[in-house]
Amino acid sequence: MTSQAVIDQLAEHIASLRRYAFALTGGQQEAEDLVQDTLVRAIAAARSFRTGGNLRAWLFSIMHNAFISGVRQRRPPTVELNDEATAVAQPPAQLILLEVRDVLAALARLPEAQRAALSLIALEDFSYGQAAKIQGIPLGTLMSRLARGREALRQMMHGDLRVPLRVIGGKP
Amino acid sequence: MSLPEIREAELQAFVDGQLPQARCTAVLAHLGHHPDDIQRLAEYARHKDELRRRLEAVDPAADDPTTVELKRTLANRLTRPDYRRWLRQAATVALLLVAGWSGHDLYQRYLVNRIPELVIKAAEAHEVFGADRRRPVELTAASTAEMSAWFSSRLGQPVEVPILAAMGLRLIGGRLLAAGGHPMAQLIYEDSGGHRLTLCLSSEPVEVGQEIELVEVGDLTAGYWQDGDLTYALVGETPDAQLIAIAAELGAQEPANHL
Repeated sequence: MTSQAVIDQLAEHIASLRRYAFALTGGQQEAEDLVQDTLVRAIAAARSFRTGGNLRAWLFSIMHNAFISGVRQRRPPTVELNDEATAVAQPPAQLILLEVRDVLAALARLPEAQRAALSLIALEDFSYGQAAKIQGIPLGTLMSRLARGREALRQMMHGDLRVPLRVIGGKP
Repeated sequence: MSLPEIREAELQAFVDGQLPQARCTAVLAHLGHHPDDIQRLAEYARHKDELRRRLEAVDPAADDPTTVELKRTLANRLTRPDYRRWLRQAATVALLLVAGWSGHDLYQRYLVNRIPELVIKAAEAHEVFGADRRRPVELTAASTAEMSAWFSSRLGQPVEVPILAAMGLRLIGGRLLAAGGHPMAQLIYEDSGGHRLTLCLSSEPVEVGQEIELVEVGDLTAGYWQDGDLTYALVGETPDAQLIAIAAELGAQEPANHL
């Protein structure tokens, strides 16, 4: 394949990666940083990509690893919250009465693993098997994260349940 | 008629259109008796659509020049013969220079096999990120304090950004890379003739001595050594003596029997 053909393919994949990165990080700058981190890692690992393999799935799994190691090593991720969410005073015991009608704000409140499972399945037409492989987890784990994440999101969108607030910037 | 029990995973798969055809009838029958599940799955599907719609509507950053450049580099790397293998072969074939030992075959062989990953990576990163003068740096030289803080936090060790103006080298900037899963800081310097020299630092524990060791990789020369908890790799198209002098400035010990 010519370099230009690969560049065109990559442009499409990068647009997809950027959306997934935004879902994971919650911020545009953070998303772009994650995309660039992913590309740098992909460049370094280019030899491990087999010609004819699934380039998109390969890139997504690199991004997932970059995100996970970033969460562990890097500065704590910052999540852009909208006003209605941050304006709520936080009662003790880290519980908060959420009334989040914004699906992105609700997504940002999910634990990282559930957020990753939910957004990957929502955004990309990967099979469950591919999605589990990308996230480096067994299929059963993916399914339970998906189920728990969807239910938590639903409860938040209802705003009628007490949902533990994800601690941002601290240890999970 | 009794139906096999429906698992939650099957309900999720139903939402995502990933349920095998054979189970669809069973799930539909289940839903016929569980209006609450119908309501719940309908909401899951609605939230999924909304999530996709909202995420797709996120205005992408205007073509970030770094992203564009990385995309081009990746495309080249994916369509090019294995650069890394070439590097390893070149390292094996190229004359390996260790001051005072250059005639010693066995020692050379031994050394080739123990060139740390970091040094190969540093040479590779020099080609990819350092040598190209059009490529923007992630962290500019204007913010050495910020760079130092950033590298220190990622490497888990205090990292000073060396100023080599006395050696006629101007700091251009730096970036954070990864070598074998470990963070690696890369600093890019340029001399008055526009030649670039890169310095890579890693806190990954490797067996490297405090005396500089030199290795030629293709057209590049790399010198590496350890100082405290950091391993350094200095790469450039630079004569050995000059590289050793710069490394000495950085704290490397000169090879005892260097000419």
